[in-house]
Amino acid sequence: MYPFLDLVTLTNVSVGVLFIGAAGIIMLKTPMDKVIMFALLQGGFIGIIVSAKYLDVAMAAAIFDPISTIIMLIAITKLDEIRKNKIKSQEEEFFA
Amino acid sequence: MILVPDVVSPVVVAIYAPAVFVGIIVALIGLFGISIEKNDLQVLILTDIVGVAMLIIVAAVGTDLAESLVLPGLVVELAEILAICEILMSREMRKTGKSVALIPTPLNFDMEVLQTAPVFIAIILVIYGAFLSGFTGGAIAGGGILFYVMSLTVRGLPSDLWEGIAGASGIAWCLWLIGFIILFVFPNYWLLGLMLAAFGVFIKVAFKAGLIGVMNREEFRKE
Amino acid sequence: MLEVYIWFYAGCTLVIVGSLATVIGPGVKDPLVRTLNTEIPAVGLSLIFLTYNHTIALLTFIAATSIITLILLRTIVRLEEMGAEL
Repeated sequence: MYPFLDLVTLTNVSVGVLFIGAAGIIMLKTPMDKVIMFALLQGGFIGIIVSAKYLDVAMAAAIFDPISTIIMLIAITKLDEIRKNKIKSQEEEFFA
Repeated sequence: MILVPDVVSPVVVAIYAPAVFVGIIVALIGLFGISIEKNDLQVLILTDIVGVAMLIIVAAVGTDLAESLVLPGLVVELAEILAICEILMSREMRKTGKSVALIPTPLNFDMEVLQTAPVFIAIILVIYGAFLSGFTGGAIAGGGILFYVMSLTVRGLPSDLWEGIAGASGIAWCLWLIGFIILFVFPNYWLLGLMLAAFGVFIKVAFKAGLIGVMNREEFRKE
Repeated sequence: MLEVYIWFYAGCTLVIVGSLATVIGPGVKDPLVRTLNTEIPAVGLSLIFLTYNHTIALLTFIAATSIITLILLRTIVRLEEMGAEL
């Protein structure tokens, strides 16, 4: 009756989420947006691992996902700080 | 197709040619990027892509041999990137004469995750790594230890954990050698040899992350 | 049986598109953007490992990818702080 409902399986949905995340990482230019899209990418990846029934691998992937996210957040914040300081010191030299 | 024995699954045979083809395409893309790029750091990041291509071609064989060949490839890639990063940083340090923090952290950065989560995550990862043993467990436990030390540094606490770690890594490497000698000289005690080798490699790879701290001590001594 | 092909070809697409984006994507002159783009081929390679049931290799690769990201980002931040030309 609803033939399209057969397409809604864990694999298909996860592949869709995965491709949305990959397109977002490529298209968006700000690094902070890329980190948000990285969460989508990892979510699709964990879904595909679960559909392969490797639950132990899925646990390891789910623990390493927030670790990479926190590492990226720290690096992006620090880089922002450095670049702002650099621009500020250049402006001070220009006025002086 | 005569060379392929009958026990190989037909799915693996069917996707062997596409996998090798994809590997070659990715390697060409990566090498093209390296050839048009001038900056050293950008070339280092692009080396990652070429490593991915190598791993695809190795994995396309699809047997246990491929799985045991992927692990040394990963370890070699990790060590290569770590070494080249240290070389780039110490060259720049010598050129400009400035010294920066070992793990640079932002000034005003307090996330609640970094105060509550790291102990739990590190304990889970170390226990799971000890359960797996070998290269795999070492990499997972090393990731957990590295995350814990990094969270200590971000919160501003002292993290001089790395003092004796080079020595422990060397002793674990000796355990690995003793395990292999037992396997060849006294084959009756194979279980002891296997366990020694597995946990020796586990401790060694887990403490390999401490290489970052060792490099820091060398920089200090130079000044 | 169809699922295996879906995993494999999704992995191949991700690897090729991701490496293209890393080499000539928008804004890759910034090394931070280039490092973040490197995550896409890593996930694609993980899917190819999953197709061949290389469980141990998959676990090791997941752990190694996050360590490599940490090393690269730390190098970028330290080089930028020393004022190197990137």
